[in-house]
This record gives sequence, structure tokens and C-alpha cells, in this order.
Amino acid sequence: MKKENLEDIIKKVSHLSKLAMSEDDLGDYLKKAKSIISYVEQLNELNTDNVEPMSHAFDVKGSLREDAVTDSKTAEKILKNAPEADGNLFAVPRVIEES
Amino acid sequence: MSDLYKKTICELSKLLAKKEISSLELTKSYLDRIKKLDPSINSYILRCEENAIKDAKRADKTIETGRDITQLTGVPIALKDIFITKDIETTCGSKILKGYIPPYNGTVVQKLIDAGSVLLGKLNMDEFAMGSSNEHSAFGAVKNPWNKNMVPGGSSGGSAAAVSAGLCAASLGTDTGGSIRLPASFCNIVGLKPTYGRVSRYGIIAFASSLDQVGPMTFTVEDCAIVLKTIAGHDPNDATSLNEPVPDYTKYLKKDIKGLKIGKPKEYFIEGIDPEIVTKIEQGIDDLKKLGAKIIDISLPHTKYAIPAYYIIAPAEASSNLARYDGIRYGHRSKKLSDITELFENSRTEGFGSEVTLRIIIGTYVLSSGYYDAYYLKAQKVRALIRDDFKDAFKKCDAIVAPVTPTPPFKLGENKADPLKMYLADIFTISVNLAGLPGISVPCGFTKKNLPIGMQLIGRPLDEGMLLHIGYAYEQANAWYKRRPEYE
Repeated sequence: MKKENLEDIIKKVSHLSKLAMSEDDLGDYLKKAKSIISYVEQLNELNTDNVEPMSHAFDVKGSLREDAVTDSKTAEKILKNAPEADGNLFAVPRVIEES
Repeated sequence: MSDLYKKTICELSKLLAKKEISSLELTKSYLDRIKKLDPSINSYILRCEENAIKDAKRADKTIETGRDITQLTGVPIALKDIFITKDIETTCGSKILKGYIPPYNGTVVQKLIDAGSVLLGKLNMDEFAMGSSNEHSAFGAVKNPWNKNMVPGGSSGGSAAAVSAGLCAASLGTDTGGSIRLPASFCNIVGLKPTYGRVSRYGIIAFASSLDQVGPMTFTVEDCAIVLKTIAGHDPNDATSLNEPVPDYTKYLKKDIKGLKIGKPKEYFIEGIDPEIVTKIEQGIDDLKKLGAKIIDISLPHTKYAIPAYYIIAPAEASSNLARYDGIRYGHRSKKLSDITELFENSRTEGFGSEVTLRIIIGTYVLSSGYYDAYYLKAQKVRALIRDDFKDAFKKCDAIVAPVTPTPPFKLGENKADPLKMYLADIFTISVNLAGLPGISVPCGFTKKNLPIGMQLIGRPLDEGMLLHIGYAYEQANAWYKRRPEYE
């Protein structure tokens, strides 16, 4: 595993997860993250070389259902929840600059 | 009729069926109590008065016709605000979802409506169900009705406090690492986390999808069985829900537990647990023995690794689930936005509280390139070891008995600043979620300071019936639920 400075990692992952971190907040999150990361690293005491990873409680096979049309006349209600809408569309600030 | 708020679902449904009370009268009596008493507890985020009156009138009509009556018909309940409710604001305890009005009902909500229950309102919770004290709510902390300086537990703290305080006849919570069982134990009520997949998650706001499960929070084990039988079952809208028949859980309520083998894991009785908890659980175990159960010493050797594994897996899943809150389709949008990146960043930063932010950061980190194997994959392997511990143990016993928490209810503010200290409150509940098993918390006594303590029973996959059976037998011999808090 490459070793990076935890402060740099937190700055990077905040950016990746679209969180704007102020310098003040960064210090607090860094302190908390440090203690959590060092705590979870006790898993390294265990040898897990021959263990299959488990992502779900049970081996449930994906179940298929009919691709049926159901009542979805909720567009108006859905758009009502949007902070900004334009007709039948969600409105956002301009994403692509005019050339 | 006086003291209606002390009655169980079972008692209320009989009164309703005999028309000794109407659902409307009953509902109004609860609404009055909530208005008068909840300001000191803060268990409700939203009261649904109009909706409740409408539900009650509909229930009274059903009772009048005498058709399609269930034990929940006309019974006033309330839901943790993580349940999607059509046309009723649903916030998940977060500022980022303030004002969100869902266009549909989740499966469990629809089942409760179909059963004829009355929805009184939406209950307070830790933001996105992340917390063990209900202090991480955008709508303020909830107070424990047994002592208002204490936390009610979390994350379903509003649900536990509301039932305990007689502000609804029953409630529902969700449990990702202990969020039903812990607050149930802190408030002297029964809380059941069913087997993963037993109850549909469709219409439950997702926290950690491989761990989340819905369950009843009630006064008694019998009430718990009634609610579970209403909400359990396969749902095509939740691909992880189990396609297994739903038994009539009330059939398991028997007083005789002779010959049942109950395992006592040595790793759950270690140094550092509050001595009053140990005393009460040992007493509970003695009572189970007196009722005819055989107590067997067992070992769950990987117990101490459950919290570290959970605090990789749960934040990882949460960081992915919470990516949807982007300020575009619903919820909070920042006013400070000059471009799309600022819209995302400022909306999320302003909308999420500090604990949620911390978990998104941890979750993104453990999934990020270069760290995935060391953290996430490692935790998934340890999760398998924890599941296998239980598999081995259940070869020797029918159920497992353990404490729910290492301490009684703690003071408001006591653990809030130190996340690791808060996480340790879940030390005895978290393994059950990782393994996907059912677990129940049943009241088992009080500390010298009159704070509730709960006893945990853990079962094999889909063996909720066994937990209800043992819990009911214990409750019949030790009716702690009859004690109610004097907080008014």
C-alpha cells in the first residue's frame, strides 16, 4: 500500500465526494479520521489469506420481474421537489461554456 | 377511558373491536398528549394531525363494516423519519432533505396503511441513521423519558422515546448496527431487528444497504410479533428481500422454553462492561434457566473485530448511497453557486451534519484506488469470519443471549465529541448486522438510578419465531414493560 499523508488524503477524498472543506473543519475531521483509521487497522492482526470476502448476508440470486409499465404519473410531484425546475426539466447552472 | 396511552396494541385492538373506544377518540387522545408532552422529549419531527384524523375515520368505518380488520386497524403508530411517506415530508433527520415530499409510499408503509393503522407522525432520528444517541439530528437531540438528562439511544431514538413516553402505541425503526435494539434497551421497550431481507427496504432511505433492516419497536413481545407479521415478506421492489413464507409470528408466543439451548458467548461478558449491566443480564440468564432453558457456554472469537469491520463497510456503502444528494433533484440547494461544482459542493457541505460528513470521508477513503484492498476487501473478509463464528455457535444452541449495550443510557453530550467512544456503544449489536441475523432487545430491569437495561437474544437466519418465543416466556415471568416513566 502506498503511504500518503492523511491530511492530503482527506483533502483529496473531500474533493472526490464533493464536500467543500474549510481549513478549520479540516483539522477536526483529520483528528477524528486519524483515530478511526488507526482503530480499524487492528483488522490487520487477522490472517485472512484464505477467506472469501462477504458482501452480503446471504447468497441471494438476482431476482427478475416482468418489465411491466406501472403507474408513474408522478413527474409533477417529482419536479415539485426540485430546488429549480424548468418545465419538465431539472434546472442547473450552465455546465458547458459557450464558445 | 383513562390511561389509554399505557395500553398495548393487543389491548387496544380488543377495545376497538368491541367498540368500547373509537379509533378517532384514541387518535385524538394521542394527538393531545403529543402536543402537550412532546416538547420536553422532542421525539417527533413532524406531527401528521390531519392525516391521522383521516386514517382514524377510515379505520372506524372498517371496524363498522366488520371486514378486513387486523390487530392494527385503528391503532395509532408513528414512524422513524427514514420511511418514505407519500405526500408527507420525509427528512431522514437531515437538513439536506428538509422539505422533501415523497411521491410514493414505501412497501412497509403501504402494508401498515393496508392493515388499517393510523399514522400520527414522523419520528426524530440521528441524521441518516448514523449515531447511537440521537444527538446527531438536524432537528435537535431527543431526551430519554426515563431521565431527561440522558440520551434515548440511537439512531431510532425518537421511535424508542415516543413509545416509552406513551406518545404512540408502537413505532418502527431501522437497524444498521444496533439502531433499533440500543434505543429500545435505553427506553425499556422491545425492539426487533429481523433477519436481513425479512422485511423490504423499498422506500427506506438507504444508509448501508447490505446491513439496513426495518423492525418493530413496541411495549411487548406480543405487539412485536403482531407488527412483524404485518410488515415481513418478499417484495419484488427489493431484490435483496428474501422469498420465504411469513409465519404467523403470534403462534410462537409460548411460555414454555423447556429444553431450549441458549448460548452464552464469553466475548460478550468481558471486562469494561458496566457492572449493573452484568448483574441484570446474569439475572436474566438465571430466569431463563428457571423457565427450563439450558445455558451453554459458547465462543464468538472474532467479536472484537466487528466494530472495526463495520466502520469500514458501513461508511463505504454510505458514501455511495449519499452521493445522490446533489442539490439538483430534491433537498437543499446552496445559494452560493456560480457553477455546477460549487452547486454540488456547497449544497452537500451546508446540508450534511458533521457525523455524516465524517463517514462520507472515511467511506470514500476506504474505497479509493490504492486503499480498497487494504481496508474494504479486508473488512469484507473479516465479515465472513464473524458470520462463520455464528454458524459454528448455532450448531450448539438455538439462540444466543447477550447484553445489548456495555453501559446504561449515558448523559446528553457525554460521547458526542468523540466518535470512537460513541461507536463502542454498539459493540454487542453490530456483529448481528454483519452476519445478517435477527436480534431482539427485551427489557430486563433497571439500574439503581432507575435507568432501563435490555437483554439481547440473537437467532439463526429467519428464526425470529425463536426470539419471540424466548422473549415472550421471559416477559411473562418478568413484566418490566408495565413500568412506565414519570416524565410529565
